[in-house]
Amino acid sequence: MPRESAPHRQSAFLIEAMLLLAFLVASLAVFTTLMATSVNQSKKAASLTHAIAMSQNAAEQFAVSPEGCTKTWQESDLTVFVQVEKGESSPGGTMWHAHIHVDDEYGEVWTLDTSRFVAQGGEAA
Amino acid sequence: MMGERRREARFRLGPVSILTLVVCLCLFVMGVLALSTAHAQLTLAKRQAVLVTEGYANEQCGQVLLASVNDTAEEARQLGQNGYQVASLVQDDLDELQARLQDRLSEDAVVELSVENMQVIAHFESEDGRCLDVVLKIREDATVDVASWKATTLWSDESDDVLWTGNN
Repeated sequence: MPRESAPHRQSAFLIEAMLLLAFLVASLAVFTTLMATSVNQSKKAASLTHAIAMSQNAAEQFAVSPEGCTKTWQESDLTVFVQVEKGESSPGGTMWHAHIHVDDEYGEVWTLDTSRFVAQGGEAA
Repeated sequence: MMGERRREARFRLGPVSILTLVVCLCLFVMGVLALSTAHAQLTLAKRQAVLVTEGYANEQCGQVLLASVNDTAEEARQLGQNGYQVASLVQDDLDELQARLQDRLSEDAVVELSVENMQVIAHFESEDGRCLDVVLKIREDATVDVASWKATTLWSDESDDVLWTGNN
């Protein structure tokens, strides 16, 4: 069996190394995209879950006291805004509406609308 | 014989190539797992968002119902009527009120209203199983009390419940 010459072996090694490098670079590009998408989606999920919890807290505060609830506050990178609107007054009492939105540095993450009826005597449900 | 050996040698992978392939495979598996986990988290968060939205939509309907019954009671009180007459007035307006509440929710949502034994009983059920059961008690002096205000979630065991189909 004839032995391969040194230059032949060297060029074969170089071709293999280059092919390997090209494969590695292509694979890393795919993995980076995969990981970046995963991280992005994970952050989005965490942010949405946090925003939902914050909006529910705001909604419950509004339910206790439509007029006196906190209108804005911040938690980590999220800010809650509560817009309270006095709705139509009727013989039985007043309906209050709240539009709650939670924003992060890029914009709105989550919104929630709720209402509360306060009877004439001031008693809410 | 020698020709075959040469052909075999041409396709032989070096140990470095094999190691790289194994590493790439492992990274690929980890990447896919990370992506599917993240996607599942986002899907669950979106589901929670839908449930919360529907829960508060039910709550708004409950408040509208309470307002309506309170208005009827207040008007009746001013006319000197009693609780039985209030219950009768609410019963008369029940269809109109049910239609008004149904309009506030999605088409697939369920709104059931009834008046029994001086009590206005309401059941709101959203498309995804968020429920609100309200019982308003009309007293003899034509005042209204909230006897029950219960928010629940229906559990449906869906065997085709897929967190991610890989389409998006």
